Amino acid sequence: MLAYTLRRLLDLVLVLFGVSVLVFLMIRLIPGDAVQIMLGANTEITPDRLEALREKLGLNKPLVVQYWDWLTGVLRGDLGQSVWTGAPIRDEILARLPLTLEITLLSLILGVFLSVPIGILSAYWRNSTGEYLVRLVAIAGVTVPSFWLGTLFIYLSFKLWPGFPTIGYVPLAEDPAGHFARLLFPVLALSLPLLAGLSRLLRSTLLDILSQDYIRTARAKGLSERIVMYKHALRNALIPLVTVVGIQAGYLFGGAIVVEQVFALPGMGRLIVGAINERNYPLVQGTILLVTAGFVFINLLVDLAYAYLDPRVEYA
Amino acid sequence: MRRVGWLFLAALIGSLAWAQAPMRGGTLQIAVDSSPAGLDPHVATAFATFVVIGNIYEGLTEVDEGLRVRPALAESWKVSPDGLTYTFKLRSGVTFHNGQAFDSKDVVASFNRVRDPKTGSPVASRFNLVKEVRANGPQEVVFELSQPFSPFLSELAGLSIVPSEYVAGGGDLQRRAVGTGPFQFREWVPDTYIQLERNPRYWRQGRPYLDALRFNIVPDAATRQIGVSSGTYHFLPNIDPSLAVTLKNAPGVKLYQTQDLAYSLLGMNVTRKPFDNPRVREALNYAIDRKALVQAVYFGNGVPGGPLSPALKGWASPISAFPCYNTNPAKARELLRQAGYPGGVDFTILTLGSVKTVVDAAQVLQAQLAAAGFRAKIEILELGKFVQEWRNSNFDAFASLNGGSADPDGYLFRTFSTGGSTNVFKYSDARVDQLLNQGRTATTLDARRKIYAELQVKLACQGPIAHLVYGTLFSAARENVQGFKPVPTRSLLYLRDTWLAR
Repeated sequence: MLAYTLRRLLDLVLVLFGVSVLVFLMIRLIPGDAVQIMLGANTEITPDRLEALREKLGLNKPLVVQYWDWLTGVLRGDLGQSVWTGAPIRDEILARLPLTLEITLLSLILGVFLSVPIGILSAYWRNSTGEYLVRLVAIAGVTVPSFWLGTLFIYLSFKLWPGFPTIGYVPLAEDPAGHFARLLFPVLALSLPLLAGLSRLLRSTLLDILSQDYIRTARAKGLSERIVMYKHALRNALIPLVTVVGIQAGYLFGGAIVVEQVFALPGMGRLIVGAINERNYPLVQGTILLVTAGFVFINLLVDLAYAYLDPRVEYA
Repeated sequence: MRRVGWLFLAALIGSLAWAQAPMRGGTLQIAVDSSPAGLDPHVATAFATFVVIGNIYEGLTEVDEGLRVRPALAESWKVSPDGLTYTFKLRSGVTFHNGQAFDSKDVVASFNRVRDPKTGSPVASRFNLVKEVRANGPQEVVFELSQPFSPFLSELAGLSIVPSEYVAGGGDLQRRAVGTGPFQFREWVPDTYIQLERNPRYWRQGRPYLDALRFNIVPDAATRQIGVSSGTYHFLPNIDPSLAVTLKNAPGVKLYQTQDLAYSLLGMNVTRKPFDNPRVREALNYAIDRKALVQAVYFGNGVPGGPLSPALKGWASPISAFPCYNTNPAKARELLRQAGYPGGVDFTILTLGSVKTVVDAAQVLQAQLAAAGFRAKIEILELGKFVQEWRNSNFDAFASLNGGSADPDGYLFRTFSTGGSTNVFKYSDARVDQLLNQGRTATTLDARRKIYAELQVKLACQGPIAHLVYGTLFSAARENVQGFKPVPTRSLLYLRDTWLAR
């Protein structure tokens, strides 16, 4: 297990290196002159000014030198500075990251913890009227995008419960109740598609497992239905679930970007979209690198969890 | 009968009293779509920035709702008979938000900061004709121009006065704004809100009425719409025409409207075929049905216009002055034939995908032009590519949306003079150059009006731009928002007079 973990970590370093090269090249390979595009329609741009900005951003140096400067900076924890305000990018990210992590984690917890009982009950009462209803909601949940759900929630809460705070953001330290009240709908909007997908997956995996021979054996030797379900069926059904949760955690992060736009929450998504709109390239570079690193890291955790849950997975 | 009369009178007086006595206090919750990149007034180009800092900073002059120039930090001014020397008497007793007293050295320092190439200010070139600026005692500033420049007073409204000592001491204007305006900077929580609070030492007695302005940054249009309908927000400044249509019948919400300076246009490259021929440009104008564009693209909320916005009252010529505005596809074909294109012409229209109004306009234009033998292909580009092609004059034609200026010179000179800073059409006409120079140097209003009337006729039909539609500028507010007046420049000047009825 240790050797496996180390090898996976080595893979991680290689992937991150590749990502850093891609992110770095991304803004340098866009068609046209990045500096001109950054300055937009400002009509006062003289060649001097272009040159000055190019120098300030280090874009006049050879590509390899630029990459080396940036990479060594990143390794020291220095992601550079925001072009327009000069604020350190690390601080900008640290100010936004906790909120996005909070929304993502809450949605993940809600999605996972509700999907297990719902999945089990759906498998148990398959093809009953109740299960048809759950299935309908679940399929709707899988197909409806969270930004649309978000707008719908804001609208419904305004119609049904005017005065309930749905838009905006209040820090936890300032007003805990207001903080969570404002996160309720974003988290619901984000977790519903996940919840629907996971419970559908768990249901079908469980149904598959429950028809296997070893379940029949377990039942035949007189084990209670409870033990058959939890100890024999569920544990095996969790393996594909973990894989999907891992993949979904990455998508949740992507979904959080959209949900932050809809609910006007100041998280990473807003930072990235803002940076792209302002053509603040060092900031785009830093944030994309971080998000990709997060994605890669989650995948590592999934692989490790997978190996832990299923002893048949090869370590070597 | 008599009693009813008295009651009526009482009610009338009551309502007048209500209308006349603004209430103090309260925070105006404003929702805006994007966050400013920074707050420095001398480098700002984005509208998101001006909306906020317009309440913090003031210039020597200001432009009001009728686009007239009014005194602001200058109490009065004298212009020498040759139009070369402007002497401003500054308002006394004005202090910056940091407590520093305002005087002539701040004006000189602000001007020099804008002129300094290191600042890279987008307004610098508007002051090219200023030879020298000097303080004459603490309350007087003298500007010497190298040649007369009539729009000077209106341009000065765009020169925000910053505190010289704060800037010299390394103060960071991008992140902490310090001005003399009705509201002072309080707090900026990135991607959440910018809070301004009442400047208790504001020089306009008794203003502002509100305790605070909070600019909530809400990127999603549907969220802003529900936010103002539900009362979470009081005010949505300068909204899209489509959002205005949606909010028109929302209970508790009212719309402010004024004529926008911004307009949609089709720009043509006069160094390429077929638009190098003025007859082809004229033919194109005959082929356009601007009234149909107003309906199809602006939902009826706009007016056809020439080179100047109808908001520039006294300057803008009525469209009846432009013969080519009488839609006539047959005449367009005839002109094309005379220009040597009996079989019509093919060309490409570049457009910016992110602005819905522009894409819609390009598509309607495409259909209208086809009827007259102009076969247009539309190419939708993203911002960076569009700006690049635009700057390098690499287009046959493009459709776009442009802002305007409060003085006719501002827009016309930079766009149509030979080598002008936004003359990407490479247009060059000796008579137009001559008129543009006369327009900015003539010192009497009558003389200037005559010059601009001639220019408009000359540019409307054969110029490099087919001006299409000037939209209506809408802002949405809750019913209890009082005292606000919209300004065609999109400035929120009158938030200083705004109050919340409770």
